[in-house]
Amino acid sequence: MRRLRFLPAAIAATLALTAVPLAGAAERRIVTVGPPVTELVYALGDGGSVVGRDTSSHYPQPVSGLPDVGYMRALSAEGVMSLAPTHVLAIQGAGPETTLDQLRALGVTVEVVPETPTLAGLLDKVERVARLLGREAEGRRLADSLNRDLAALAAVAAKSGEQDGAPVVLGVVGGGPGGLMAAGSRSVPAALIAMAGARNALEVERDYVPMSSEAVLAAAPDILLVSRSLVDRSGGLDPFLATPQLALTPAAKARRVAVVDGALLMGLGPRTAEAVAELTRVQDASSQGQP
Amino acid sequence: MSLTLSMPSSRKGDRAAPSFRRPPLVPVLAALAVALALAVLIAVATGGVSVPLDRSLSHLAALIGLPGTPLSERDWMVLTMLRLPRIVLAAAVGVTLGVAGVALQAVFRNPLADPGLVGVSSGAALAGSAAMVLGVSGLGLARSGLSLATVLPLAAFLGALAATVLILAISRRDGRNAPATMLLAGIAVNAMGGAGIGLFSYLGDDLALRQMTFWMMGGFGGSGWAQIGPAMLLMGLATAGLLAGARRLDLFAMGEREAFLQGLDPHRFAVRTVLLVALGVGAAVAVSGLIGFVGLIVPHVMRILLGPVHRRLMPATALAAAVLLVLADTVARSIAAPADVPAGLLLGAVGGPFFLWLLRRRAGGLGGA
Repeated sequence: MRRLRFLPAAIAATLALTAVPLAGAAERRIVTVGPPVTELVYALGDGGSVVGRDTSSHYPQPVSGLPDVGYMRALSAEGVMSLAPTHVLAIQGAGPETTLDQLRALGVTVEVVPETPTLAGLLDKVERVARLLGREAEGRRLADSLNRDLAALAAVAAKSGEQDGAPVVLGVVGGGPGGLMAAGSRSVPAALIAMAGARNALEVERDYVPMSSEAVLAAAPDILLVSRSLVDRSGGLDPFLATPQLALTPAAKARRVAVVDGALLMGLGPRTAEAVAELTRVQDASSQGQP
Repeated sequence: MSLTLSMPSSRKGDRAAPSFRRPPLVPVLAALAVALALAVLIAVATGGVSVPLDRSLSHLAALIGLPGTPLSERDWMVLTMLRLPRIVLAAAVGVTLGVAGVALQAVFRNPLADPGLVGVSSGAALAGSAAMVLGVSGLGLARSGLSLATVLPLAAFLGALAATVLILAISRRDGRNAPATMLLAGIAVNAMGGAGIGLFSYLGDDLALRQMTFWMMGGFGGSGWAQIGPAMLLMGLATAGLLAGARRLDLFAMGEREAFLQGLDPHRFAVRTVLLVALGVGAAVAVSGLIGFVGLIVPHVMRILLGPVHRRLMPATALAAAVLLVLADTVARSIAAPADVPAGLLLGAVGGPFFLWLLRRRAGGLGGA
C-alpha cells in the first residue's frame, strides 16, 4: 500500500500545474465529445476554452456545468452550432458522420481522435490533442507523468505477481438476465487489466461480449473490475456481488472488486493511471491478505 | 376475422353517403395547408442557434429587392444547411407515411394496417442493422469507396423491397394475392425481421449497437440536402403513384366483385399499391429510421373528420401527417437543446396515449368513420 500513496498526489499535482490557461486561448471555443478527450483538454490546461461537452463527460468538476450536446453518437449539428464553437474535438466513434461533415461545412474545425486501447494509443492521443491545442510542451509533460505512473504501477504489479502469479480479472460492463456483458480483449478494461499486470478473464477478440453465468464461473476471476454506476444501479456492492452470475466466483467470495469511475472504462485518458492504481491496490491487498 | 367488417361505411353508396354531415373537403384542405405553413414557420424560427423569424423574413425581403437586412453568413448557412433540410425531410416523411398508411389500410381492408405492421419497415430496419454491424467492408464493398452514410439508406431501401417481394411471393395463390394472406405474411415477415435485428444486435460491437438503437428510434437529424435528395425523389414518386390511385382505392373498397365489374383488376391493383408503399416507406426509413404511429393515427383521425372516401382522405392525411412531423421535429430539437431527442421516440410517447384516449372516447372501436 505504501508504495502507491504517492500516486494520487502526483496526478493531482500534474493536473494543477497544467490547469493554468494560457493567454490567447480565450478566442478558442471548443466542444469536446467523449470523456477521454474532454479530460485531456482540461489536463492540458485548455479547460477555459471548453464551451460544451457530451452526455458522458463529467470530469473534471466544471464540466458538469457546461451545456450538454447529447449522446456522442447522436450529435445534432444545430445543437453544437448553438454554442458557436471554433473547434469540435471528438473521440473516435462520435457522430453521425453526416453531422460532423455539416459542422465542417459550416467552418468548424472538427478533429476526431482515434481510440486505441493500448498505452501507445493513449500516448498518441495525448500528443494529438496537445498538437491540436498548440500545447506540445504540456503534452510531453503529461505523457511523461503518465509513463512514470504506469511504470511504477507495473513494477508494483510485477512484484505481487512474482509471489502469486498474475491474477485473473473480469471486466464487467453490464448485467443482464442469465448472464452479463464482459470486457473482451479489444476493450478499454482489457487494456487497464494488462497495464496492471493481470490477465483478462475473457480472451475473446471483441470489445464487449455477453457471457453466460456458467462461462463466468468457468473463468474463475480473482478480481472484478466494474464501474461505480453499475454497482450503484445494483443497489451497492453487496447486492451487486450477490447477483447469481457473480456470487460463486472467487472474486465475489473474497470481495475483491476494483470499482472505478465509468468514464475510465470508456476510454484511456489522463486518469487512466487512477484506474490501474485501483486495480493494483486490490491485487496488492489480496496478495498481502494471503499467507 | 374482422378484415371486412372494419370499414363498414365504405361498402355501399358512398356517393350518396351523408356528406352533409362531413365538412366539405376544400376548406379542410385549405385549413391544413395553412397549418402546415404555420408549422414550417414555427420550425424555421425555432432551434439551438437563435435566428428570429423577423430577421429571416427581412433577409427574404432583401433577397427579392425589398428593403430588408440580410442575415449573417453563419445564420444563413445554419438555416439553409441544417434547419431547412430537416423541416423538408420531416414534412416529406410525414406525407409519405400518412399516404402509405391510408393505402395499406384500404388494400388490407383493415384500419390497423401500418407500414410498421406489414413487414416493410422491419425489412428496412433489418437491412439497415446489417449494414451498421457488418460495416461497409463486411458487405464486400470495401473497395467501392462508399461510406456507411451512403450504404445505409441503400440497404434499408433494398430491405424494404425484399420484405415486400417476399410477402407478395408467399401470399400468391393461383396468380392472386389475397389481402388477408398478405397481412398475415407481413406479420410473419415482421417477426422474422425482429429476430434478425436481434441477431445483429447480439453480433454487433458496442459502437454498432448504440448506432442501431438510435437509428431505430427514428429522427430527422444529421441529414443534409445531399443525403435526403435521392430519398425525397423516391418518396415523391411513391406518393404521387398512391395519390393517383385514390379513386381506384374507393372502387377496391367496394369489394372485389364490384371493383372487377367496374373494370379494376383488384389483385394487380393491390400488388401495385403494396410495391409503391415499399418504395416510399423504404426511402423514408432509409433517411429517418423508424417513425411509428404516423401511418396509423393520422389516417384514423382524418377518417373520423372526413369519412372513408380516399379522394378526400388521402390529401388531407398527407397534409396533416406533414404538420405533425414538422412540429414533432421542432419539439425534438429544442426540448433538450443543444442535444437532439429522437423524434420517433417523442411520437411514440405522445402518439400512443393519444390513440388510446381516442379509442376510449369513441367506444365504437377502431372502425374509423
